[in-house]
Amino acid sequence: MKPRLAAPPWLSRAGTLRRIIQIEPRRVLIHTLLWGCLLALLLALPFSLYYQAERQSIRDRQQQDGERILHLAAEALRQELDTTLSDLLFLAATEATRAFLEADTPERRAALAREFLALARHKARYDQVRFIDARGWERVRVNNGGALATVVDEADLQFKGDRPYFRATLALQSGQAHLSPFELNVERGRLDFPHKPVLRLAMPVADTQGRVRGILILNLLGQRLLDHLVTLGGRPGVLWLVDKQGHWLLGPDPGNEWGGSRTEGAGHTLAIRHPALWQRIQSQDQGFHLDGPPPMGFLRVPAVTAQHPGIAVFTGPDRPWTLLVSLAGQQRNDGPDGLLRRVAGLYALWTLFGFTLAGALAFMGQRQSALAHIAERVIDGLPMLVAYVDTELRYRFNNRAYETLFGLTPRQLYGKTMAELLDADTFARLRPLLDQVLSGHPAHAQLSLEHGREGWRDVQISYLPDRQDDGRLRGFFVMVNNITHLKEVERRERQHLLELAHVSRLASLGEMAGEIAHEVNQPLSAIAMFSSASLRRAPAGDAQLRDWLESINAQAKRASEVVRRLRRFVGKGELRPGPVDLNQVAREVVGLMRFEADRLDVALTLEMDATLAPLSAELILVEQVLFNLLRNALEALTGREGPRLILLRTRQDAERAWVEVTDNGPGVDPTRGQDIFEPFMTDKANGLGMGLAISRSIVEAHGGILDHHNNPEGGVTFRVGLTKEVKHD
Amino acid sequence: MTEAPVLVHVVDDDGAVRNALAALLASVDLPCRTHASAEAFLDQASADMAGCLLLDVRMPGMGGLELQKRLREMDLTLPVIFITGHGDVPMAVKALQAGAMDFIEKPCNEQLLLERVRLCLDEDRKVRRARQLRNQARAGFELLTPRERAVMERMAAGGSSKSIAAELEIKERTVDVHRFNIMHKVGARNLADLLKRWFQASPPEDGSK
Repeated sequence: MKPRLAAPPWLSRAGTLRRIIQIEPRRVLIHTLLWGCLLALLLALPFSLYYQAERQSIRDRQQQDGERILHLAAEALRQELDTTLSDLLFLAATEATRAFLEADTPERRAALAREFLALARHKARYDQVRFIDARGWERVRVNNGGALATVVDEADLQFKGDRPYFRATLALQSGQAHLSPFELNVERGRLDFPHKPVLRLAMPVADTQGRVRGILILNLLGQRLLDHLVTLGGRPGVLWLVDKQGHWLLGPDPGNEWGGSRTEGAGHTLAIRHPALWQRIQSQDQGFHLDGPPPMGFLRVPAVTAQHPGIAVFTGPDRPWTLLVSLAGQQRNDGPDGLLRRVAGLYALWTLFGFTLAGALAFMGQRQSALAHIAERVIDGLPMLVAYVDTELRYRFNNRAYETLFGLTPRQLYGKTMAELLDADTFARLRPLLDQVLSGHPAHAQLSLEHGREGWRDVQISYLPDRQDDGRLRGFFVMVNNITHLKEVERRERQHLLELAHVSRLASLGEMAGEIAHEVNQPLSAIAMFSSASLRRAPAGDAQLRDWLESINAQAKRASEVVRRLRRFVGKGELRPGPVDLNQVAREVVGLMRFEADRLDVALTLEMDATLAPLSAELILVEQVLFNLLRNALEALTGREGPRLILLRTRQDAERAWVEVTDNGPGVDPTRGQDIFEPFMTDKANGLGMGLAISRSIVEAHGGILDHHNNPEGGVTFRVGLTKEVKHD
Repeated sequence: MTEAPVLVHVVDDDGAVRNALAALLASVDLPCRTHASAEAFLDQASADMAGCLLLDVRMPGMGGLELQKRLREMDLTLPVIFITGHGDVPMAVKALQAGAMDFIEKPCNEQLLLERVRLCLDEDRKVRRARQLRNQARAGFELLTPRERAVMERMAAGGSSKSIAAELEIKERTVDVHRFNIMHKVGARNLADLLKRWFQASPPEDGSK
């Protein structure tokens, strides 16, 4: 059912309409920006949610990782200390130690030294194994060099009574141990170089009487432990170790390490560098500090372990060290920063895509709206009603013409039913049309309605059904054209024709009366004259005869007078000539006959001499003549096959202005000659035969000529020649 | 020359009317001849026709006005009375302008018609008489020699024998001889008669000069 266009779609008129629209780049740009920003905003939400979730999960994972690393590190520390403590306890418990404590003899000292040496050789992590007596002097000392562990000569033994670890250890009860700070080893008052980080674990030892005879001390090499911790961190700088004062033992920057032991690094503490973090650490044994750069996890490591029953208290700082782990990503891209970059990158990509989309949308939108705007302007500008009505007869679209006609804006009209808008009578008259269009067929009609307030009387209505693709009726288009003026013109023309016909009839009547009068007048005249002649010859004595003859004469005259009066009454009477433009008359008569000519399929051609000056004549009568001639020509052509032509021509010579009517019909029978101008002479079945007679009367009354000739090429030409107006001063 | 009979020519297409007119004219002893159409009349028409013409305005073929026009072209100067069944003013004006004597509507007062016919006949007679005189005068002057003609022209202009002689450079005596000959040829009884005849004959010739 859908009408197919003959032209392919890219040649359709919509394509050409599209070419005349103008798109403003500024508007497109603004719309693109608006839509793009909106899309960007919309996209921002999921991206930020994703980012939040992902960051949280990364943090959680990092925290877990950090925690694991911290605990592994703490365990490593603890194990190191445990092992060291075990060794210390073992040393304290050996026979050699006990014996030496009872009596410091050279043999016993040598035995103890051997014992120390054995330990040192097997445990390369101890740098020194020493016994320092209660006065502070080293009594036995083994310096470890792995397999090259040596017992230090008595002469090389040093006084350590001034060292803090000595004093702290000596002050302990039996069964207690002292852990010195993790620091760089100092030998004979100077830092060992290369730096040798050490941990000292010491405990006082007493003889059987319970007198403290000195201390046993193991110097644990810290570098191994620290390397282990670095390994646990994955790479340097991840796992930190900080002492009680906040000095880095293991930190992000090796240059800042060992600030407690080195005078030049004294200022580099965590407390100074990251005060907030340090604050947290002071108040909490373990936790996360996520605010700082970098986010850190921390764990304060206790030096005490409860696994050694022999040791009650592990003196020294309560929690001497803090382990810290940087959460800022063991791998750089895994951290929140990397995530932010990734998400931001993705977001930027999507936003770019969004802007492109917005641009395309804005362009298409602009084009659509420009098209719609053009269509709307055209439809609104039409001097006719255009509407769309759905199947419930509700207006869905109205153009501006409705506003002027009904005084309702399209917005007010929207949704109104036709029954509401139109008065009941009109609606009732439209009902059949509506039924037709609702059954899916286009409906057209010309109606005379009282329509609105603008005086639309005669309207041409078209209803065009609008079908969906599946063939169902969706609604219909309404087009109502105001043809009141056209109808008015038509009416006037018809009126004019009627008037002419009336005039024609009157003229016929007048002419007939004239003819009858003439015909009757002739014999009456004859009677009058015969009677008069007879009277003159009648014998003077015969009064009776004379009287009768006089009566005949008088009666004939009386009859004649009646006839004359009748003729005067119906006759043409006086002409009231005015200026007549023959061209204008010709045009008007042709205009009147145009419809008839079209109906009979006659090509009616006008050929005007534009220089023709107005004549003095009776307009309606000249019209009548041309009308008669044209009608005769049309009637002469009705039987003709092939082209039917009429030429109406005006021209002039020195004396007269001429109007010629030429047809290509059968022409006039030459044998009839001038008869055709006589009254009651007709070839037509229902003609009166007055047309040419009247026309000639009229033309002659104007002092003109009406004649005709058959054309050599067929058809006949009738011509009217009217005297050109003579200018009188 | 032989005189054409004085006749009232009636031209009307209607036989009854024609006959009635003829009867009416006959009743007062006016000789008449009837013609059924303008063409029929034209066939018989000649310049020396005498009398008058009663014309019907409207006839099949050539109408009365057209006939009048033709006659004038033929220099036939019969007085014309139009008789019409339906006269209207413009037609009458036109006819009278073209030289018609009268324009009468049918049916007419017969007495009036007859009077008009008589008037026309009188008019025609006068015209023909004048024409006859002129023709006679002209015939006399035709006989003059060129010299006599020159003398005659100067005499008509009022010249004396003496002045004429001086003008033509001839003797006064010779002028007198010429004058005598002129008088004799024209048949004038005296000078006054001669001049009268000269002026009767002259106007048409003057008009052409």
